[in-house]
Amino acid sequence: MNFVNIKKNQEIFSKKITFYYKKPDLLTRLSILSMSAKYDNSCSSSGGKRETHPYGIGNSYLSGICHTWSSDGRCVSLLKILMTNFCINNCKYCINRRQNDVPRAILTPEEIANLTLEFYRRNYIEGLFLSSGIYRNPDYTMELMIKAAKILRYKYYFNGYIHLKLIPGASRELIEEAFKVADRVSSNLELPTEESLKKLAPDKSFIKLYQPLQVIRDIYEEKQLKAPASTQIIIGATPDTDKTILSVSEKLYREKMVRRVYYSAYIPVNKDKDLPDIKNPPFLREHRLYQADWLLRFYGFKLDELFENSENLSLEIDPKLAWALRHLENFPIELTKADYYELIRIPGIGPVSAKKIIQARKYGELSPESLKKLGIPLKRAKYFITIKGKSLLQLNKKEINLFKEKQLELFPKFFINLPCKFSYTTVHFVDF
Amino acid sequence: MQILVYDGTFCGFLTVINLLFLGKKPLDNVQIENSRITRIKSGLFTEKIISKPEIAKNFYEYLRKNLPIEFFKKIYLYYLCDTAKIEISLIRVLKEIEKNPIIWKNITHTDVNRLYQVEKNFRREKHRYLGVLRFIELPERILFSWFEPKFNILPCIYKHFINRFPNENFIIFDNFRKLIFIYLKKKMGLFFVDNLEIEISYNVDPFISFWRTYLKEISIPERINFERQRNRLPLKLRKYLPEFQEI
Repeated sequence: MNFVNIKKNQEIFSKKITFYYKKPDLLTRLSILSMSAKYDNSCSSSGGKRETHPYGIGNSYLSGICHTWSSDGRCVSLLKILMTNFCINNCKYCINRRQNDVPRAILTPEEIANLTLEFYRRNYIEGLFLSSGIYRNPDYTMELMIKAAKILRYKYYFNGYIHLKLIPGASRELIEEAFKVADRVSSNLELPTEESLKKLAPDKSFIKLYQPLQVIRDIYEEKQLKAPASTQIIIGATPDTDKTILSVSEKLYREKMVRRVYYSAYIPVNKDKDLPDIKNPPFLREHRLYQADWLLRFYGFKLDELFENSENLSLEIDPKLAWALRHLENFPIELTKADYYELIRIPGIGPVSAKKIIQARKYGELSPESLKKLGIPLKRAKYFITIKGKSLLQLNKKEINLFKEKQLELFPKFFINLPCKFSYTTVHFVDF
Repeated sequence: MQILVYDGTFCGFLTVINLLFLGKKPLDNVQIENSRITRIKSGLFTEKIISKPEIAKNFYEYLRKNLPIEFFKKIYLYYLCDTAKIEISLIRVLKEIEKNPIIWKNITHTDVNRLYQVEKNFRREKHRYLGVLRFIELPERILFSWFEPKFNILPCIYKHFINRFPNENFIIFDNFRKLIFIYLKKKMGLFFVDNLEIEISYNVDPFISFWRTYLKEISIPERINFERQRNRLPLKLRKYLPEFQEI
């Protein structure tokens, strides 16, 4: 009798055990780990130059390919996933911090490789973006991630794109190993200053986060190009100014440490006394920082030119327009004579439009109509350019009246004492 | 208005271009149609142009000798832009090149600009489908994909997939033009298949549910912006994407 009861109890107990400790199925783990990876902004698949292996699958497309767009409008080109969201760190802004009670999961290197391969065969993705929480210790985590990449590269001869996140604190040998198998690597600096890091990520330090990027730079030393690495900085979690953030980026670009810095607007996912209490994440500020970053990288602007009067970028107007309005002495620019670098400084005209203008004026005459035909947007540019000495700004009667009213509103006292009436029909914005 | 209908082949395209290029008829009252994609098959003003390989070959050789090499390479591309109806603009540019060999570089010229815009759209469409084309795994690990592109891009994109999946077996089917590309056991073929109708069940492939789950979880709720998504991925493209199908 007792024996039967004991056996029954054992069965019930073992069922309970299996119920509580059952490893979630692959779909559930994929769901947990992709949800945990979503706050990483990087999803670029450009820059890879691998050809297909004769016995394998996959190659890289230099300019990158977008495969779909998620409901937040972001391009999806890689299987962006965490290997695990178990983490020994306790960063206050992070959803996967140690003290958070969230579902946790881990994928084995073989599972990651298989998922990547099957997605790739169906043309869902360009490759893998593998990041991870720190599981046990940095070296162990980095080893598992490298193992997943090696299975792809050496077992399946997969030559698609692989981006590996470098784990801060991992040994130099492992970082070098990761760089060998990956097309691009990254290490997130998270916050722009040491004080901010101490406050929000006590387990991290600036040197610890910077060290993996330095290792990559050392390996890449013989090449004069920027190292194939990237980083990410959180915006709005600390009171750091735009100038501080961009000066960090500018230093990284100057020293050729990274090809790109990503900016991520702080989204409150945790509650803590050190975190700002905001309702709307600073998406517009993030957008302005990206615009300024582009000006630094592709438009020949210097950091000081963007921050002449203040420590932050204007939210109302884009940084190039703000610079142009501060420097009206440089305008109007004559489109038929200006060189490439002068053209790209005109608000509303970027590298593509500048190249079109240069090609068009080589073989034909420029006119407002021809600019329209070329698809060059004149909405903002028309205030800053001339063609053969003529301004493109043409006001209709409605606009003249509106302009008149607005101008007079600005000077009510002055207007009362005016001795005569002004004619506004000949006034051009660029004359001011 | 005279409507000239060719059979949708490159040979037919060259035959009809040659006919108008040599003829002295004003081009304003002529319309050229591709019989594979047009609804105008016959009518009072419709003339069916029969492909003549000999004429097409001679004309192609003539173009090779007389056109700047960069522009000559684009002739096949203009043929693939079948829905854009740029044949008349092309003939006008070909005629002007005889007088001014660099006219094709002047993108402010109306006809050159039209060709330039269409070429740009074609390249955009081609690049887009390198990513948006989806394969479904059928039994025996054969990958199947179907789509309806605006331009005839299949002859340009199949090489990309052969390079990428040299050891796979796959089929790509243009449902609009009924053009099929087959790559089985490293042998390939590209041909028209009339009257082929296909129905696909998205339950066949288990990885579709993985992909749908992944896409659902990867978007950030605070950033949800369906308008932006629609701008990048218009609804017309979603017809053949498994992640947007109801299962």
